[in-house]
Formats: sequence, C-alpha cells, structure tokens
Amino acid sequence: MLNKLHFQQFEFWKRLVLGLVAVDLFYLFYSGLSIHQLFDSPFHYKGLDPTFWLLEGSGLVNLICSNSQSAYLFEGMLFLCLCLSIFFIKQRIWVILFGLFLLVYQIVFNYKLGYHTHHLYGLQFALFPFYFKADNRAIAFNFSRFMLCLTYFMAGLFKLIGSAYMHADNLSNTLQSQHAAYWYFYPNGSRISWLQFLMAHPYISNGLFVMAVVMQLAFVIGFFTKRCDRLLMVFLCLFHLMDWALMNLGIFMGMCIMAYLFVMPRGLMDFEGTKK
Amino acid sequence: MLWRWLKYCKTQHKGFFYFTIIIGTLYSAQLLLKFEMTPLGYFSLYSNYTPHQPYYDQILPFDAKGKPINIYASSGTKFILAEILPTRYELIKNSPNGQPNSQRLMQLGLPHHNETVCLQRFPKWYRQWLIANGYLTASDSLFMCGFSQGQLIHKHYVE
Repeated sequence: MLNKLHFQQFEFWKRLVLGLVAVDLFYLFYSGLSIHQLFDSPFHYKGLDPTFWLLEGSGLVNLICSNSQSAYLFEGMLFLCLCLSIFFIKQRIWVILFGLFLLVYQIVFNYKLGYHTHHLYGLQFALFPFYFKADNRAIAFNFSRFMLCLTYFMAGLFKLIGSAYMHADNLSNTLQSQHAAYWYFYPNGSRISWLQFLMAHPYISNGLFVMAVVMQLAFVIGFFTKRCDRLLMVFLCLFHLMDWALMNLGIFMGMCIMAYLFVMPRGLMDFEGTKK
Repeated sequence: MLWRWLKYCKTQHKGFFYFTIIIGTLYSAQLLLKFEMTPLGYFSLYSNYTPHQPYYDQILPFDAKGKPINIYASSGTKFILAEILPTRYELIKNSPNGQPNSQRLMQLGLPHHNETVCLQRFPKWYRQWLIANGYLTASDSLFMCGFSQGQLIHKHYVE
C-alpha cells in the first residue's frame, strides 16, 4: 500500500520531471521550434500517420495555424498548463491537459514543418505515469519503462537488420554527409577537428557505431530484470550524448528525461504492492 | 519481469491490461505496415549503410552577394529547421505524386494528397522565415551544394 512517504516521493519526482520538461521546452522555443514561427509555412504534412489525419480532420490544425495570434494563444495555453501542473502538483487534470497540448503541439509542429520529427517522443512517455490515480501509478510507471526499453531495443534491432555496421566506413561516410556544410563553415572548429580523426579512421568510428548499437540492444534486459536499470540509465544518457557530439543532434537530449524511470524508488515502481 | 507485470495487470488491473494489448497491437501494426502512429512511433534512422560519395549534398540559402549563409550561426538548435525545411521542399517537389508517401498510401488503399501546389510559395516564405530568424542577408536563392572535405565543390540553383 502507498504510504505518506510514497506520496512525498511521488510529488518530488513529478515536479522534477515536469521541471526538466519545462527546461527542454524552453530550449526548443529558444531555438525557434515553436508553432508561431511556422504557422504560415506552405507544408501540409500528413504522412503515414493516422494521428495526423485525425487532427487535420478535426479542424484543430487550421484553427491553431489560422494566424500568429491563434498560434501564440495555443502556446500560451501549453505553458499555462505546464505551470499549473507544477504548482498544483496533487491535481492530475493539469498534467493530463498539458500532455494533450504537448501531443497537439508535436503534431501541428510536424505538420507545418513537413517532416515527422521525433524529438518530443520521450516527453510523452515520461509524463504518462502522472496521468493516473495512485492505484494505477506503479503499473503506469512500469508501462512507460517497458515502452522506453522497447523503443531503444527496436532502434538497435533496426540497425542490426539494416546491417550498416558490416561496412567499416559507414559512420565515417555518415559523419561526412551529416557535417558536409558544417565542416565548410567551421573548418577549424573543435567538433570538426576530432570528427576529422573519426572520418580518417573508419575502424575506430565503426567501433563507436557498434558500441551504440550494442547499447541500444542492451535495453532488452529491461524486459527481464530491473537489476541493470542504472546501467541502462547510463546507456540512455551516453547514447544521446554521443548523438549530440557526433551527429550534432542535441535536439534529442530531451529524451534523457525518460532516464528517471530507471532510478525511481522501489516503492513507487513496485506494482505488486498496490493490489486493489 | 514483463511477463509478471502482464500477468499482474490481467488479474488486478484489467482495464490497463486491455490498454496494453491495444498499444501492443498498434505498435506491431505500425512496424508491419510501415506507418507510424504518434505518440508511438519508432526510430529507424541510420540503420542502412551510407555509401562513400565523392561529395555530399546539402541545400543552403544564399545571400544577395551569392555566398552560402551559415545556418549554424544561430541560437540553440535552430539550424535543424534551416536544414529540414529546404530538404523537405526539394523532396516533395521531386516526388512523383507531390508527396513522398503517396505510393505507400496508394498501396494501403488510403487517400493521398499532392503538396506540390502548396510549395509554390515556399521560396518566398522561406526567405521571410530566414529574415525573421536573424539571417538578415537572405535572398530568394536556394542552392544544392556539393561538399567534400569541407570544400564547396559545386552548386546548382534549386527551383
């Protein structure tokens, strides 16, 4: 059964996660990844995603993107719900509303960007357990943890099936492609200087790629035991740190917020202690 | 662990158990049919081999003097948009049905749409976007640039 300590712990973790989500969102908005800057783009991306079709069919996209004021209003509501969910930590309604606004923001942003970006994917699963009542919370925390393990394991599996790791020069070529223009603008930059080393030594760069694949595949362990959770947390953060350092994909650093699912106190994660 | 959790859900939290079954089914369906369902989805980037090329292409905006604009000299991770937007424009413009996913949508028997018409105002809009985001010298010109070892090898106008 949940006791007072568990509730205090729960509120701490909820505040921590929401605070980190707020930092990530502020960074994204500082970087210009907001709807009010894209609301009038000519893209109408629907892609192969039924959620996009549903949202477009509902008319919500047109409503939010009809002018800059409506886009600002939507973003204002998104941040208002985030603030309310932090201040009224005991009330679930605000975090549920915030999660809903965040999902709509993700879809509308992609719709007007014309591309299916995934950088907000981690935030959805990080927030998911906070939508539930005390009875279902431990179950929901475990659900999010399994989804996290599934996501990274599948990403590793795709890389295994794609067999890019079989080619020693794969990452060397990827780096040259990824930083084609960056190298031109910053020929003497610190990132380029050590990336040049990796490009010139394909076996070392491929070793790093294989390491990344192994780290992703290791998430399968999470389905069988929690004993390696701290290791998986390190792998998760290390993977995104490498992603930023090697590929300049700092946009995905927000995914690290999900790492909290690996270090939650046992009392909050123990689903068998919350029998109805 | 997963099995124990599922078994527990089945006996103690039936609602959550059925919710998990639905999510599991949707997740599997998107993998099998190669579509995505936000907020699910999966990461398959960089799974395939990147072959060596004599040069690597990237679309860049140019200034009025005919020089490429440094899209990386911007706040935070804004350059991502400056990279993605013209790339999508080029991709959609060159797709057979004006939508990269059209063929797949047709195969699945789903309605598809053509975005080419929407893109006619892209170059002007993109220039406005660049100026609004601090790239003050942007012209209407977008160039497909070929880079090798940090050198600009060639460029051709994208329109």
